[in-house]
Amino acid sequence: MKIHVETRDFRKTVAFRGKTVKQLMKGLKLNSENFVLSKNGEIVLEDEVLKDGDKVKLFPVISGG
Amino acid sequence: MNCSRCKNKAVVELKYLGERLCAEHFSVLFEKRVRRTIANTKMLNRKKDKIAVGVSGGKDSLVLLYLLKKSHYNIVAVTIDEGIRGYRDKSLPYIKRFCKEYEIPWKVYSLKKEYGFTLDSIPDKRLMCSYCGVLRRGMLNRKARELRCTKVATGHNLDDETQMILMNLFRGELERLARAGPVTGLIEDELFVPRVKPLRECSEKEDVLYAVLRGIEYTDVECPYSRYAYRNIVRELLNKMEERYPGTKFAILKNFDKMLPFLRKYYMPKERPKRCKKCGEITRGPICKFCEVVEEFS
Repeated sequence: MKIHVETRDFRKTVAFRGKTVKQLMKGLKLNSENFVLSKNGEIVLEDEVLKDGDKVKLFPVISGG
Repeated sequence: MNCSRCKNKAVVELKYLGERLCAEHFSVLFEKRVRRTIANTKMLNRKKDKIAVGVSGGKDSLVLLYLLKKSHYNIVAVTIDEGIRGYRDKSLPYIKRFCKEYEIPWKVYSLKKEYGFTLDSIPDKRLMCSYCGVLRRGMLNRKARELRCTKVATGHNLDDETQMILMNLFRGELERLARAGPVTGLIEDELFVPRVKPLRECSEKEDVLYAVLRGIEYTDVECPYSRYAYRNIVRELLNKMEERYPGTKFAILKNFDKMLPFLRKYYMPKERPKRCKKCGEITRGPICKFCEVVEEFS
């Protein structure tokens, strides 16, 4: 399935064979602890199940200001 | 997964509490915690205080501004423009929009206009955070006084506070630690506006979540100089500890609060603070740190 992923540093569509947001993050080599996660505009936990065409937005926790 | 307190869908897992919370219950808990911090430390008085809120446009400062406005405090947003291209110029529109929407008075003070230089013009990038800290704190204090404010509130969160505690311990800067805490400063002085930190018990992640849930639009652009900061190493260490032993950060903060009265008693100055020969502000030496930095780079 294809998942649209957006965060501070990139916006892209990725081919994903897993099930949950946590697995997606792992594939992107990102630590889910460092982000607040949303799916299709709603905040979700990392065990949220994804389906084809979902839009995942990652809000970085560390801003370093 | 459902909320531990109701049947709604959970949006956050708070491992240190052993709970999963929905948007509503998380927001209630977050707001209650900030109110409790303010009440327990008596850091702000709704009737007596006029508060200069230091605002950068990031999640922490805008969440703080939102909560103080919501609780009907007498506030004015104050931004120090240090002149960091690609960072400060990008954050100013967020603050402008926010203050307009919530009808909050906003003042911007530029380092370039007031002292003739920007942080970008400082050649040694490794010490940038120290210079920036001295300049921002100094300008905030001066401007808060000009605005007749009785307190300066900043958006320092649990992560900032625990990093600061460990950094000072690692460097052996116990006297600095004695000046920290929920309300800063060892002494009362007419020239010093006490700084308070109402978000000090809320983690960085909780601030992001609250901002997103409340629809607060903030900038998450990173300061280009933050990569030089010693703080990053301490942050990494603390995050690893928190992941493995949930509640570590909170324990550090609470234990620091217990030690603070002893530290303050030990480091309480015996004499009244001196006045800087150049600007007349509080200092320990003949010239204050602020004037030293300004003199070096202007």
